[in-house]
Amino acid sequence: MTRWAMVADLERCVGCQTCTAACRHANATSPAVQWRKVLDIEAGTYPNVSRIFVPVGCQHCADPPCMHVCPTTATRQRTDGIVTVDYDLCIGCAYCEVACPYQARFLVHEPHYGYDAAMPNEVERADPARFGVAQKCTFCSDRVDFGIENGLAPGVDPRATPACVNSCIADALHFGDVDDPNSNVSRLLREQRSFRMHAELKTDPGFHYVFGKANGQNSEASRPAIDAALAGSQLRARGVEPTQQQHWDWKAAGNFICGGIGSGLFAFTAVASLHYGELALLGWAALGFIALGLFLVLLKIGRPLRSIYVLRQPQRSWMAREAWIAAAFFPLAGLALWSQVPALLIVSAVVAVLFLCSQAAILKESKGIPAWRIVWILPLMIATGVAEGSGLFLATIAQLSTLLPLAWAFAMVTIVLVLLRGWIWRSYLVALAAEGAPTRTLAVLYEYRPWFFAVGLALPLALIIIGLVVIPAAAPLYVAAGLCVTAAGAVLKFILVTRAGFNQGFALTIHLCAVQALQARRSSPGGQFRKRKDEGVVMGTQTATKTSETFMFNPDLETMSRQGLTALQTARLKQTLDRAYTNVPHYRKKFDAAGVSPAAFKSLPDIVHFPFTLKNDLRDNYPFGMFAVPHEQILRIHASSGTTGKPTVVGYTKGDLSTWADLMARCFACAGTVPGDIVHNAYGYGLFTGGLGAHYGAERLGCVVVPVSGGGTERQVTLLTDFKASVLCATPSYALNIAEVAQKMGVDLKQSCLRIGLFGAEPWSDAMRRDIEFRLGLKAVDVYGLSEIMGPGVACECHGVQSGLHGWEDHFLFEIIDPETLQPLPMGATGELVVTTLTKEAQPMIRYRTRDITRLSSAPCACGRTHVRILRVTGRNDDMLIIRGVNVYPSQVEAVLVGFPGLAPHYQIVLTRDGALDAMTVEVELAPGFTGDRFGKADEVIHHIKSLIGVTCKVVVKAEGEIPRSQGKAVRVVDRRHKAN
Amino acid sequence: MPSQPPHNERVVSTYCYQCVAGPDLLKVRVEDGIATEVTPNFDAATIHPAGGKACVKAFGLVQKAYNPNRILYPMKRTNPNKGRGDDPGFVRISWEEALSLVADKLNAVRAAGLTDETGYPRVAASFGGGGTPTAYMGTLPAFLAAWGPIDMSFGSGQGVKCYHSEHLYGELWHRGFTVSPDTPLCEYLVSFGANVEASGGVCGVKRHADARKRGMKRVQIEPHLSVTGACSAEWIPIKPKTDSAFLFAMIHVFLHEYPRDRLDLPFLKHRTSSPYLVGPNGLFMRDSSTRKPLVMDGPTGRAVPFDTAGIDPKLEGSFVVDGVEAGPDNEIISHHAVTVSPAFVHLVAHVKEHAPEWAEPICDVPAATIRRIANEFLDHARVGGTIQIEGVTLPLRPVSISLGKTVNNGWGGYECCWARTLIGCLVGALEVPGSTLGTTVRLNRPADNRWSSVKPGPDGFMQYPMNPTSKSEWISRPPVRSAHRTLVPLVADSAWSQALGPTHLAWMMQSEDFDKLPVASPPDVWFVYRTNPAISFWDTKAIGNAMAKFPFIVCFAYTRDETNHMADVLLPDCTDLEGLQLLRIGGTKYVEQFWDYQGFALRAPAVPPQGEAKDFTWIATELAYRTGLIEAYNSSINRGAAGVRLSGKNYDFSLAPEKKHDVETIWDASCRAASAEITDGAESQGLTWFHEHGFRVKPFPRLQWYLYPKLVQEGLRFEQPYQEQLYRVGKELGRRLHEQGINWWDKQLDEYQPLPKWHDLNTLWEVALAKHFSVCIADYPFWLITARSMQYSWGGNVGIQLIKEVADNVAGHGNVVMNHAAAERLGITDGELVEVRSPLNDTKGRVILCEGIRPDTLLMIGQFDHWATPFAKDFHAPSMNALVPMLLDLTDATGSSADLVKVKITRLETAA
Repeated sequence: MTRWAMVADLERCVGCQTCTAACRHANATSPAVQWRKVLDIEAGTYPNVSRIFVPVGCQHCADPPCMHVCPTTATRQRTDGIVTVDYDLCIGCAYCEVACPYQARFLVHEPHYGYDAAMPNEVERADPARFGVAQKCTFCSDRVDFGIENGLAPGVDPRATPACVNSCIADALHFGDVDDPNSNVSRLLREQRSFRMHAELKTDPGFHYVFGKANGQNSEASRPAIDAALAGSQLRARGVEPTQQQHWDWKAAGNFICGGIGSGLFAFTAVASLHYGELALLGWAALGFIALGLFLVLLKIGRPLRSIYVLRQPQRSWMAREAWIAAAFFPLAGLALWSQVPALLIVSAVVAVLFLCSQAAILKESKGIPAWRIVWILPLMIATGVAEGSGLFLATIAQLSTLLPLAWAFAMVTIVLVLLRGWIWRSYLVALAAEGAPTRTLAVLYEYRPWFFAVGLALPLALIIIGLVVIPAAAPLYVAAGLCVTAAGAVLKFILVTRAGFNQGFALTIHLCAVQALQARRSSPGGQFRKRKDEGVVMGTQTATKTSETFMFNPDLETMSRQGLTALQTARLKQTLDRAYTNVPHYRKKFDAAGVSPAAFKSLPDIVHFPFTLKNDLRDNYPFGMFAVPHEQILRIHASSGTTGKPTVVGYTKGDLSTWADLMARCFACAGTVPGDIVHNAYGYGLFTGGLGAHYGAERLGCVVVPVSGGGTERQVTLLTDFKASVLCATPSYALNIAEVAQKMGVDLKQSCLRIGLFGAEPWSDAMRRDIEFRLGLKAVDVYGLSEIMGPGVACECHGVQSGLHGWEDHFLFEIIDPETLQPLPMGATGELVVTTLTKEAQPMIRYRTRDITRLSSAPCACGRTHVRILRVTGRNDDMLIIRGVNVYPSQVEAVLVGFPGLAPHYQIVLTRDGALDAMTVEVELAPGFTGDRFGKADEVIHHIKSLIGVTCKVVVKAEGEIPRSQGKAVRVVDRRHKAN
Repeated sequence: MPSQPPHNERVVSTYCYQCVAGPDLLKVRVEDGIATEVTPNFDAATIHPAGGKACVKAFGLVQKAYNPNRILYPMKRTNPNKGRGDDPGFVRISWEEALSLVADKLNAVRAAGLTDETGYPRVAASFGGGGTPTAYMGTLPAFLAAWGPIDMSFGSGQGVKCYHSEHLYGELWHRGFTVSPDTPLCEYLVSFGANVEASGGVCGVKRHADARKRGMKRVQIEPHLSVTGACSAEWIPIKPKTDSAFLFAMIHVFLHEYPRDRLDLPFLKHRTSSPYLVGPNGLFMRDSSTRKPLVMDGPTGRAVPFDTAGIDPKLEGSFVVDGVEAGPDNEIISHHAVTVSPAFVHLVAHVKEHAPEWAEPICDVPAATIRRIANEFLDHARVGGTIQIEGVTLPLRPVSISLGKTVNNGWGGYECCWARTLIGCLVGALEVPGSTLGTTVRLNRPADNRWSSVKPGPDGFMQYPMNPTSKSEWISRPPVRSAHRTLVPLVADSAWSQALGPTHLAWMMQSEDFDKLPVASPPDVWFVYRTNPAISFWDTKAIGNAMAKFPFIVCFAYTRDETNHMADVLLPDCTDLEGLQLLRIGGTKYVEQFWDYQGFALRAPAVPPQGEAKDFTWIATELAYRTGLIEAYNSSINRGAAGVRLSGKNYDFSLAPEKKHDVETIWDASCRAASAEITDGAESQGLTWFHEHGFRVKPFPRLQWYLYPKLVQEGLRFEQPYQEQLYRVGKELGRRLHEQGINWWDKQLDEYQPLPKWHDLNTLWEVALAKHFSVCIADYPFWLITARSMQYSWGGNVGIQLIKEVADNVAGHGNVVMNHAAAERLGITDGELVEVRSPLNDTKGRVILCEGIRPDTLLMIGQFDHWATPFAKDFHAPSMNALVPMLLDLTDATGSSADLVKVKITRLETAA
């Protein structure tokens, strides 16, 4: 398949707007209609400021919101990914404009000229079909098609390439087929770091931004909107601010208002007229409301004469569905009102509610407007419509003498609806704030909130209650109350549509930090990172200076052929076996007992004959029995905490420490760290290998290390911000703790310079990863290691691909065995990971059983590294719990809990003995601000754990902050079984 | 490109030369005879350093042709009163009437004498910046050459807004009228406010983008975060006009904090004057008989002439020698057994006090930062490294320093240019691959080739054509109103010199007399083309008043504007897409314009002229014919006044001198001569060929990008670090001026120092403003600076809607850019309307608050304040030009001053 895509190089772009001008020429767009333009963004505070130029335009999303909402099928997507607009079908409803998160749609109603009168070139290229319809960038599809027809390569031959790309004087814009791995754009995405804008909206944009270099594939370093940061936070950014949508005005709002009132009113009227035929007139009035709303829309759209096209796409567009429902509703409702057939009345009431739902869904699908697209808009719009209808209904029946006696009952119904509407409104606001809406959206809504509370809630309730008490005066009170309810709802929608409809702006802040950091560290002399070979280069070609740049710490070794690795491993393993056998009595004994000798080792498969090493072997030889070198050669000793027995001790020679630093530096580079990055190392320093392991690795790479260790989380937040750390090293649970403390301190770490998190030392789920990435605004990378083997740095994910952790096979041999039969398993099978050290001097480990359950892949990785990939370790078999016969890993529980609506990502599993059986209680904690039903939440969690893991457990819902926070390694499982005995 | 041409469609090759960073070769799509689209010219992809791309300004050309505000017919003034408030009452006239009007006036002038009673030319002309108008004015230069003396000193920006010190000193030291890093090879660039991303054109932008991706580190040092700062690895917000302190501190670090062997000692010894011994009077110690400067040969321990073969001159030490010093006016001072030291020793002592700690409070930049930049520079210099260029081994020194405007003009320009060039010399990074290069030669001849312009001069340096200062030759009676040759020896006497000299003096002389200079009369006839000094010069009010007194102004007019508001005749000429002209391209030229090719490009008419606009060649020919100069005019064209000499070895396409030739004939001959020049006479294709192909080139040797090999070939040295020649010239000039009784230039004379003294320029500015306007300068707390805009600069396109539209996407255009925190202290909010007032005048505009500017600085991009230019007059954009006074106190020895003034800011209303 082909997918045409644009790549913009942020390090090249100078913001000159030549592409803007060229696009205006090529596509003869009207003044100020800029299908392509370049943003000029400034971020930071003086004197630490960065300014960056970011080309924007239609992103030709693989999943384009504009196409989904288009009621007419005018917006379509070609098989090559280009999103097109058929100007002959478009009715100019502007739904695509509010659905597009990239501000890429333009609705031009009438000709505009550069000067008062049209110039000859404007006359020559005038296209009346473009008026009253939504225009957008086509990726110059006419050029692309021309090229393909004539055998030219789009993106390579200028005749087949979009005008903006052709014109770019900095070579910042590139166009090509991202599905072709050999294309220019694929190469750029491979060679550089990249991100896409608003990728969290899952639109899969075909517009990529690259900067820096990365020996990995396209990375999705997507960021949530920066809107929240724009006012009042430590970072100022200019040029990306959200703006109020201009396309849906009071007329569009009128449709939502009239449609809501009309459908709500009709529903009540239809049901009531089952018994009270005299209400038919009110029903007709309700129809009138709906019709009025639709008429207002007709006034607003660009091509009213084509409005019938609105029916073309009910399979996707809620606007088309609204039209279809309306088309069915009017005859049906008319017939029902006329005939008063009960069944028809009920059916038409249901259709009225459906109409209301369709209107709610229209807003929900507007992905470009944060205040509209959240799920809470659905109940809000429906509840508002129904409440408005009820208000008007109440006001009406209170004036009808025949129905007045019943008004009290309906007043009660109205009370319920008004309360419901109020609760939903509040929930909507809370959810909106939590999701990070534009500050100005929130400001508008907050400004309206007390008014709504007074007129929409307090006043009608008071009036009705007084009416219920003072029955003789009830009628006017009910009328007033009903009108208040309706008016408040109408104003709410008016504000929501016309004043709170800010788009989300453009979101790039974090990348500003990244780009700036990258530029600042360019060509720091003496760095190992950027090596150059340009002495005596002969001139003549375009670039005289040949430079080799890579994000690998040791490219030669990291991209070694598999055969080469096997040969290296064989040689090194032989030496290791010899050394172990010769110098460590424990191994000699075990080898002898197993009847193997190092001499018998010829090739790697022979390793299966050698005995395993277990954690207990280390304890049995406590403290120094496993050392293979004299004590004077030991430079450092690490040890486990020993809480479950004797500590396991590990020694290191000078060579071991150097290798360790090399491997950890390799991991840092693999994770996307580059020399000059500021590494905030929150791994514990001390006997635990994490702190010092990461420390020396980062220093080896040429990073600035902040050796902060664990604990003192508030201070950590301050240091992270003040020192502008770009890389965070911590256990994942502690990273979450940092995020939470920062939030309490009012610091938004999403806006910090943090770019990469190197997390390890405890199992963590993908859900946890997503959560950390969201909260800290960084890319979370998994690093693996065990102190028995070396410490952190045994394996690491590559920044670009993140499909498994590269295990450094030049220093370790990785095997997978069946934990039951202890037999080796083939590549790709799931089993227990067994590691043999190949270069460890002080303490070689032969076939150490890690207890980690995983699988390996030797398939080539897109990052270019050849070393085997260990799938992410999410559980260890000694972590495994057996609950009522079911194998449960804590990580499985975590996967259920992290991201669970209403829950904070903190939990503990408490094991107790329930008679003869082990029982599991999962303690969870409510998310800040959650005010819902705790017991309901517990039931939900129980249900999810049962359905996803297959085990029944107890769930205790704790209040915010009650679960102990990680200060390093998180305590996820509390075993109280022994105490119970 | 649509699959089917919809109708009559063709593509025309032409060029855009709206700024000195051009030409950009481009193509124009013409549909049904109407230009609709500008595209790059990918035919030039391989020969053009930026792949045949065209800059954003070129995309304004279609609107430039069809702008309804164009003047499409000749017009004459009916209201004799000239002034901003007077409606000129222009009425349409025929070309015949217009040309007769002008020719009659010219003929009357000729009859009265080409110069007036004061000796100043009766005819004056002003053209836009950087010589760009010559790319459009066809054969007008031939007419001007045929005419005789013309006063071109009425500045329209030149002198005060150009890279003035660089033009003069750059040309003196390394044939660098304009200076550029060797961007394709450079790895570390310290840029003091050079805004290459805005002013470097497509070649600059492309090359710097490539360099960034390659890993070149650029440190941008300037008071605000420009687009160039944005694209740099680091931004250092320096206090305005303190760059020389930063540079001096860098020199201090190199000379006082590093072992000598980190410097390029062979370069210093053999390619500079560092080892020249300096006598007690600050002049070179010379051999008594040959008068050659002496150096101390290390191995023999003897003082020998600098060009003695096989010597190893010493850079340091003090020695007892015999010899003479050659003083001003050929005075010889003999010395016997006098103790002297090499120039290098004087240099070391000169910067001793200028440690980074000294510079820190001056620049408001931490000493550690200055030191770090110096260290990084040295680390990247790769002293000792080499590279092969076209088979020749040259030093590779991939470090450079570039200087922006305001750094480069007015007081301080000498220090900055000297320091920049000297730092290059210290590490051997001058005119070698990767280092600082000159790109254009203008004042030395021949002006089309840097290598050919290198001629051996005295003392082992290149010959430089100083204006004479000897008693017998000094030009005491200025030939033009700026007195450039009288006051500024360094400005030389090329066709460009007039535009460089103290151009504001020409304006100032219109309202004040300069003691002992002839009283300056207004010119009888003033031609104006592609320039608008009433907006683009300083003290625009005074300029406007001065030109209102000119009796007869002929403006070649595009639209109405603030200068042609005073005109007597408006002549509409073809715009860029309408006219015909052949232009020399390639070689090494201007900013970043060094190519691997050289040749010619044709500006072919893409569309017919709108209205009655005429091709400039036609206008020039008519003027020549009607003034009886047709023979001289044609001869001038034959000699190359239209860009190419029409005859050469093996070919002769000369025009018959006595005939009035039509436009096509003239350019066909030029095209044939160009073809012949490129092919050494083998081919002679004319206009038709160029119409078809657009351009024609031949390779240009990359070796010629670098002057170093030529100097080695000629056995010459760079005239650094010690400015003995300037010192002597200054002394002589002082004597001449004093002999004439001129004392008002004494402050400028003080600048002729062998090693430039550092000046506290902030104080200099404040004192001059306070003194001249009798104000308390503390009331003006902000420095106001300006910055270039790629979209507008030089283009004469302020009235183009598309340009305005896209420029508005770039922050700061049309606003007063101000630091957020500084504004907060004054209660000023974003978007608020403010008045910015200098001691001279005020301007109004809306504030844009940002973080990327120093709290003590305000910025106004570009030059606006239009009140007559259609479209632009509705911008309500502020401009600093009205606020900057023309003051002798703020004029340096080269006759230049800097875009800098102190201002206060006042709120006018709360923003809507």
